[in-house]
Amino acid sequence: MIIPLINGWLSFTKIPMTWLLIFINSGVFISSYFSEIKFQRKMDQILEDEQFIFTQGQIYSQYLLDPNNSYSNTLQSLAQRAQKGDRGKFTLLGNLSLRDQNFLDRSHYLEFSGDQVQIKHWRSNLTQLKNMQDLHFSYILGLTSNDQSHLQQWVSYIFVHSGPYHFFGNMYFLLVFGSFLEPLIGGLALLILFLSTGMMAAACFILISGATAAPLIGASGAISGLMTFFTIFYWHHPVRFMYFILPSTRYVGFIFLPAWVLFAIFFISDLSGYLSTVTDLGGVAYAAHLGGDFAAMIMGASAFLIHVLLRKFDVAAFHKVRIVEKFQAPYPFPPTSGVTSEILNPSLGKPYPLSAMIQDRLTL
Amino acid sequence: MVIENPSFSSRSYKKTHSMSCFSDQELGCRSLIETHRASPLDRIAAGVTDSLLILSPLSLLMIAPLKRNMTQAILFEIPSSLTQALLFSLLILLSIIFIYYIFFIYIWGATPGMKLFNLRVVDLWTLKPPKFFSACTRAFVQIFECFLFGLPWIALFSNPERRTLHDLISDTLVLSQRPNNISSPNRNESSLVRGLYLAIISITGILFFSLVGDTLGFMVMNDRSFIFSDAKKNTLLCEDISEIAKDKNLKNQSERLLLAMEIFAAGQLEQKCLLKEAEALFIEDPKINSQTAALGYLAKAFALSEEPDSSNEYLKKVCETDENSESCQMAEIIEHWSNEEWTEVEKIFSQIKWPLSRYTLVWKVRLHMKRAQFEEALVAMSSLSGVGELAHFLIPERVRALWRSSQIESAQWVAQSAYEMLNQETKTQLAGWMCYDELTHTCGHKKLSPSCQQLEQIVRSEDSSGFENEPYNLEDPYAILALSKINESCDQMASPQYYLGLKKNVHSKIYNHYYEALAEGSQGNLQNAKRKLLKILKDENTTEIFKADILLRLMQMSSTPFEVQKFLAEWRQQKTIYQLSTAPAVVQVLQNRNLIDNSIDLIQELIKYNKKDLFLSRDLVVSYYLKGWKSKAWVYLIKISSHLDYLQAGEVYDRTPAQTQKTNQKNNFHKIVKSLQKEFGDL
Repeated sequence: MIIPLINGWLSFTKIPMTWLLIFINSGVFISSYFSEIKFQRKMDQILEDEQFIFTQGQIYSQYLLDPNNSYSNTLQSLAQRAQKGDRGKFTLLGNLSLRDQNFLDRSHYLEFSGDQVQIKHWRSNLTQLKNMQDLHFSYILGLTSNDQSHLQQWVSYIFVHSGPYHFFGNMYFLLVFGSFLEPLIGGLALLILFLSTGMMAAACFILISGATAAPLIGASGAISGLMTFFTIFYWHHPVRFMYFILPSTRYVGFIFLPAWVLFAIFFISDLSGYLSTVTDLGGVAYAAHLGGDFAAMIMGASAFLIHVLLRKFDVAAFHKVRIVEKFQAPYPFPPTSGVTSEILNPSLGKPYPLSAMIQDRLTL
Repeated sequence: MVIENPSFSSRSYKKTHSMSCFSDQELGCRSLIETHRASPLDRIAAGVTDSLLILSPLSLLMIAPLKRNMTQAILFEIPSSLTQALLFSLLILLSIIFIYYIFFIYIWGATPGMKLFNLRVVDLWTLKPPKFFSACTRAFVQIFECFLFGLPWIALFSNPERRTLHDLISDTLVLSQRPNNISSPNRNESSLVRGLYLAIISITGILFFSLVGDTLGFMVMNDRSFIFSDAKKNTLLCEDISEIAKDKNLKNQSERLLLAMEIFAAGQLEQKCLLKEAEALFIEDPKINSQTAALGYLAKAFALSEEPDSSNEYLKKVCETDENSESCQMAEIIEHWSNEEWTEVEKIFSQIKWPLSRYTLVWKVRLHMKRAQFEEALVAMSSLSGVGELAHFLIPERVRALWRSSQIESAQWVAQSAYEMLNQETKTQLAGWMCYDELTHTCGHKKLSPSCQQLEQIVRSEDSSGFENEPYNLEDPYAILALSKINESCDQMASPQYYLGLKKNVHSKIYNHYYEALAEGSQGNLQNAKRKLLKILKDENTTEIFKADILLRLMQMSSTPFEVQKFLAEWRQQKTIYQLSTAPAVVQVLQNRNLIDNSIDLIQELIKYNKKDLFLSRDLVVSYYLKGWKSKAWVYLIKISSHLDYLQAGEVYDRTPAQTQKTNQKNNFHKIVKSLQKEFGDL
């Protein structure tokens, strides 16, 4: 097991924007979490009702096989299999239909064949569910396909989290990458990067997953963007990791690795997750992560190119940022005892001209 | 040559170790191996690092599309695609591991994980990085070791040179870059590992053969890969119905539903099973006609009877869908049935056009049995004769109807045949009912009852549970009551030991308390017994027949006529069908206590329900005689004259209990018959 660590003990003055983002996230999380619980319980009651999901699956299978609607072969085959007599497939379709905004919008007025008493009950439960969703924070602030016109949701979704694990996980990584990036690029640049990669992640999510009624929430797309920007632009920067290999003091400790290792770990994980998921059955979270990654990759590569050009032609600007180059890693270099330092990054302690350049430009 | 300071950056390493380690350098090599032997934990840590940090992410990425194919294959139940994806995944995984080890060991002399822990792989003879062939062999054996769950790696703790199988086969050695004084395993360490090996091999062998045997057996039985076995459980249809439908060659879902409804009406099918069949009707054919849809709604109303709101909604929907259908009439019947409006129920039944569906006929049988209309029940049953799937419902009901309509011999004959073909549960229920009824009607004369013998046989049979000493667990209330009466006579209880012995056959608290109360009663502690019986009477879980029997027992234990009349009033509030089971015994108590008017009143009311009741007629003869209305007694005696032998046979042995001998002498049916014959002539 190996996890990246925060760049030292961080004061508010050192990374104000990162802390500000964490405070905003915390505020939204605290204010929304407790009020959400009661709605969530009621919604769960409906969603955990086997009969409701089963009926929804039956109705959705009719909707999928309607020649007027165009759906992927996967979903249509699933519907056909369900109608041949597989209860499990109906339940699966019932759950999938909760993400299909078109179906949920039209199901109120469309006529369906089958058990009309059951359908009546289902419609009533669905209306209840929708009423509760209208009061649910995740649906108010989260980004859903039917609310794409509400521009504020493209930003607000970043600050909503589904639960403590989701929240604390994301905030930890925001702190990790914020602590590395903010001293290098400045607070405003970090904010712009955070929001823009978050929006790009959402765009990617919408593009890949199509119209979906399940709201996109969480800062992971934006944080993936921060991570990618950092690891692309500062690929050689040393990052401190904690490792645990065997339960013995000799095999537990800290190690400095170049930043690109982080990118490799996260990108491979997201990419393999995305590739292994059947698109119609989910996997959009990976798509959002990858969206953030790609946006930041473009931004990182562009910044890198600008830097190279400036370095080549604009000597004055290059000298101007020498002050920032004095930035040093907050930790001493890794001890050579125990784990070998052979594969550790040899560029430790070198100046950071790229970071300085960007900070200079963006904060001016 | 002696290597004093082996610096293992790969280039210098190659230079310093360019010579062979044989012959004159052998001592030096030995010394190097001794001082630079790799720590086993370092090697394990290197392996973990390689696997988790590099191989796992790489493998997951490479097989990700195949993983998606596997999900799709499982989803759409395509075994060939799944097998294909699994094989390709395995091939890719093996290739990645193979290439990874060959590449790094041949090029670097160590994997990244090994480098991290300062380890190097060297050729055993030259102490140089292994040659390509050695690297290939080593990688190949490592893969083979993976299939053995890494067991050969335990050799790190037992081999003198701490070499594992892949080291031994490829003639390689893992050394540390720095001297670390890792010694050879000591004797205890080696012995422990050997013991561990033996234990693991033995346990794995046993598990392997048993698992392979089970899996093969399972796959052969299920005819398909076990991965897809869950799909069978998820089927929309009920498996119990599928089996019968297969025998009957039913393909249409509405035919299947009719079958399910008739078995459900007979109480032989679970509600969820009927629900599945009803759901399948709407799913398999969305454009069903109104008549079939009405049937589907009716089935759902039955299946959801434990949820009254939903059930009522479905009942209303039946008639909304097709008001002229039989299903609609059945829905109306069910509504009146739940309100106990029997006249309305009978009226609607009479309005249904013939031929009736079989499920309607089953409900008709149930109605007549419930209403003590045994002749009508037998007629309805005759329309259902030959329906094999209803045998467990029809045969016991036929026996009950025949018995109640005084067709004694026929009832006993049908019961006797039923015991040979019914399952254990139904057999116990029938034998229990029959035995209890015969005992209460013939005043505890078990020799007259083949059913009591059958019940005793079930309870005491070694075959019933398979173990001689394990008691048969009784749950049927009639059987439990019958057992308590088997060793009793009219007013004479059995021994306390007998009742306490019966306790081992029951698990329910109520039944246990019942037997305890009877044991107390037989010891003469009547007050304690009555207190316990009253407690059971108040318990909400006590069944109707148990309540009727307890009130009978309380009447028998009562010391004053007033007390008897109090319990009689409560007993008369019980349902008719349960009164009929216990009525002759109650009448016997009333006659013994000289409450003749009460007994006549009771019999006259009950006989309205079942005019042909042989035993009530017999008791009426006795009551009339005791009252002094001999001509009335004679009229009723003529009615039952054809069964006189049977009725008198019961009297000879049992109506002479010691306690109330004097009274019984007077009540003796045998003597009354003789007396009446003397007065009015032969029958």
